[in-house]
Amino acid sequence: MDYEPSNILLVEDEEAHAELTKRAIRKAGNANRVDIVSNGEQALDYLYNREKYADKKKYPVPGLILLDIKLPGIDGIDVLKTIKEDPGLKQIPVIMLTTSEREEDIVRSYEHYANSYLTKPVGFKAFEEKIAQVDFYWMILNKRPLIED
Amino acid sequence: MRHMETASEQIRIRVEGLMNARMVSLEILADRWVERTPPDFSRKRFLEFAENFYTHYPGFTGINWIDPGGIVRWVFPREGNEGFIGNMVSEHLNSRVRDPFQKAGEHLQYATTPCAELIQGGLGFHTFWPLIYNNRVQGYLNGVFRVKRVMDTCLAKNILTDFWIRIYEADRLIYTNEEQSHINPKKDNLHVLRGIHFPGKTWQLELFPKADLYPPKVVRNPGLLAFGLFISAILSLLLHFLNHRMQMYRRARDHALHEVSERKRAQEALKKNEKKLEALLTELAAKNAELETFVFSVSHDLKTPIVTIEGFMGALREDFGNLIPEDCEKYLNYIGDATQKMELLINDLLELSRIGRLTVKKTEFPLADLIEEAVAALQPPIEARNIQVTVTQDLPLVYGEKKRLAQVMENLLSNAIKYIDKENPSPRIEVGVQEQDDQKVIFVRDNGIGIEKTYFEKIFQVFQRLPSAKMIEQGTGVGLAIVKRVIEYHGGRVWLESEPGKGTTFFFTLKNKEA
Repeated sequence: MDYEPSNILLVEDEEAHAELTKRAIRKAGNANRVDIVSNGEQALDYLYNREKYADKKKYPVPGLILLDIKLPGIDGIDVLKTIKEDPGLKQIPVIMLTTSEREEDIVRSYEHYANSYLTKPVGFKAFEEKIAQVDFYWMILNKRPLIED
Repeated sequence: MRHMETASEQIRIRVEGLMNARMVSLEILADRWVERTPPDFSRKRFLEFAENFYTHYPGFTGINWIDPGGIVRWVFPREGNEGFIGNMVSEHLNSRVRDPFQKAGEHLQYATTPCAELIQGGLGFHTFWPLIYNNRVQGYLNGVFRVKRVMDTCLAKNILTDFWIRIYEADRLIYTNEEQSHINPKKDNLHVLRGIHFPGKTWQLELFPKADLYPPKVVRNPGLLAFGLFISAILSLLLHFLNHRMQMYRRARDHALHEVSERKRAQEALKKNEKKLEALLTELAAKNAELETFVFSVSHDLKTPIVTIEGFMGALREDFGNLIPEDCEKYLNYIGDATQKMELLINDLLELSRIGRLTVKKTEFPLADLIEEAVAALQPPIEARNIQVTVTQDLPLVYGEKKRLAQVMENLLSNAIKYIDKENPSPRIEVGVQEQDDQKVIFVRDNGIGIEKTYFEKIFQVFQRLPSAKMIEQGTGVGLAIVKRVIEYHGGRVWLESEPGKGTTFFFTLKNKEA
């Protein structure tokens, strides 16, 4: 069965930021599932259906990945690299979502084929607006390929 | 008897003269060899030198080069000297040769051996001249003198025919023209003794009249004697002159060598200092970069909690707004203001750490653009405070990173706005350019509260704010630090003039575009 994936994987080690992001997505009117993992290792487990994410039905390929750069252990860039080098995962849009404005991080992200690079805005309104725009663009405007299940 | 005196004097003068001259020539050769930088110790060059000296200065038996290890390598002339090639002088069987050679190497001074049987044949002696370059011995110049050859060169025919000659070194007879001993000194006490001195050597000359010649010649011709004495006096003078010249030459050489080594030492010290300075600068640059990176990453880490605070403050208001009592709202506002201020601070710090780290291409553009943009950006507070801003006409082009310079102008203007007393009836800011010491100086002048002289330097430091700034709400204390960093990064200078109660003027200069 082909399906258009619609769940969002949020990779964020800062629990509060994860909560804020999820809240903003909800507020934007997106009812899709948002799964949160807090480090790079878990993100890869999720994507390859390993360990506690072994149930493929429950954890299908996500339609969008929001990926923080600074993560404990395997960092965001490593996760990005793994995704973009895997033929089965590379078509998933990966949005880097971070507080870092380091040019180095931006350059490295695009070097490894990130689909977008966003900084978390300071300020409640600005933050919510940006997340809403991301959701609107990537989940609604943007046409994604169907994925074989 | 007097005739004998004259003859012995003549022999002395000639031997001393010849040997002095040969020693000097060897010294010159040794010096010439190392005066090139770097020295050109080639066999070809050596043989050219040696041949020249051998031909033009008779008396040499050999002119050779000994390598730093003490092995004889190059000889001139080859005939008669070939047996010497490959000899290890430093381990010569005869200590009378070996010791002076080692002494020459240790004392870095010429040394002369006592007379001994030469490998080249006959009785003779060596002189060794260390060739010193860069404080290292690059080998030795070796002059070989056979005593017979020296004497043959020196002695006039009539002396040989008239006298028996004996020369002693220490107590050893090293030269005589007798085929067999004719003299019995005990019986024949009509002889003359003379000392012969030249660098490194003292010889004793003994002169006997051949039997048939004496005594008739002795007093018979006083004119000849007078002439002889005259000649002798002239030769003495000549010798004296020669000696004097040699000493002068030596002194000059020593002086020159000393000067060269002094200069070398100074150069080396300078090089060392340069290296030290370079290392220090590299270290400093590394430390500076490290510090900037640190500030940058710390600022980012600080941003993370602010996103959280602001986010949840918003969420609180949104989700529970109607439940929040009025007092609580007030407290939330305090938290909100503090957070916003922290955010400003962090952004300013980030900006400060970017100056010089992130470089954009410098361009030339009208100063008027900068001022216009800054005034436009600050229009709201300018209008709110009813400040009259005047900009002088005919502004020049400036050269630099436009974005950074715009920031400078904006910071200076906003600073001026901040420090104008709210009670001021006619607040004014003037922006323009004036000529000062052939330099274009850009200024921002206000009629605000002014600054005490003690704070003139301090206000450019990060987080330094004036005591009077307490009554001013905004400001992070980074703005002027950014101004200073940007201007200095552009090779310019920033300073101020101020009088409390009357106002402040900030000045800055920029470098012209390089030709």
